[in-house]
Amino acid sequence: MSARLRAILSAIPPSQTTVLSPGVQALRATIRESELYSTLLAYLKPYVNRVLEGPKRASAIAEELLRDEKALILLLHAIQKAVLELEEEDVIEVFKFLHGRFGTANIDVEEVLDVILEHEVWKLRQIKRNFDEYMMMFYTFSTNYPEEAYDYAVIYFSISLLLLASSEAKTYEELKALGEELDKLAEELEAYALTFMLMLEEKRGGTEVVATARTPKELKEVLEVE
Amino acid sequence: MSSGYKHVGEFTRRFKKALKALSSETKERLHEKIDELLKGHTVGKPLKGPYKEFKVIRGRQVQVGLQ
Repeated sequence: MSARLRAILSAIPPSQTTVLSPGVQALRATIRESELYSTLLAYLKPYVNRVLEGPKRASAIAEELLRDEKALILLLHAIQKAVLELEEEDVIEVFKFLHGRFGTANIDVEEVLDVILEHEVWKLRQIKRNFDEYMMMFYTFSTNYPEEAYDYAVIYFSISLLLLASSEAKTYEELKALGEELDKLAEELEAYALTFMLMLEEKRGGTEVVATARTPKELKEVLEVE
Repeated sequence: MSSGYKHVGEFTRRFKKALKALSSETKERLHEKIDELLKGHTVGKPLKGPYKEFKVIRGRQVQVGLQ
């Protein structure tokens, strides 16, 4: 991350700092400079406010978002812009901000945010370096398991709204409730992320078994531990 | 075999490769999780789609799969 970008980020007051989705759409400096992000944020504001008022309803609100054509068009364009402009380091930086936001309130969501970050960085890496294979994997998944693909989209946008709401939270109670809901959804997101990773690995032949462990001694040998 | 696990652990080439980059502390945590898994002490949460039969257990920086 450049010194210029760091200076811009630190100059933005918390009320104006936010994320558009977990990581990929989230570069705070760009948000302030971009009409597209500003329009999207303004459009999403009522959704975010409702999630802030009732985090447990995040999934239901995300389903409404998925039926909102205007929101989807804006999100689609914002995602394209983010993929073009963001690097992994930018995404990591956004999550450092989120860690700090919860951390200063002594709310432990470290593992939860790490799960979401891992998903975001992995996805960004696939889109930038392995686009065809990643998209075909996702197409295969979506056509063979349409209900799960929809569930994944709901979880993904629920998390996006919760993270956006965390930037707007004013009290400990609000942040805590958001963190608890993020915890539940991150577990689901992780199951999808690992499924996608395995699907790609299998295609590349990375799932070939090269060692087995039937006893504690064999396990220690495989893992190279004492 | 009385000293054996309930399940058989199978490790992929990619897993073995990734293992090399882990610290000894992370390897110890990984060992602990897989040991629990193979003993049948942990059930895990199912993955999705074609991997519904696979399970994942969570631990800080540790993910382990079981088929």
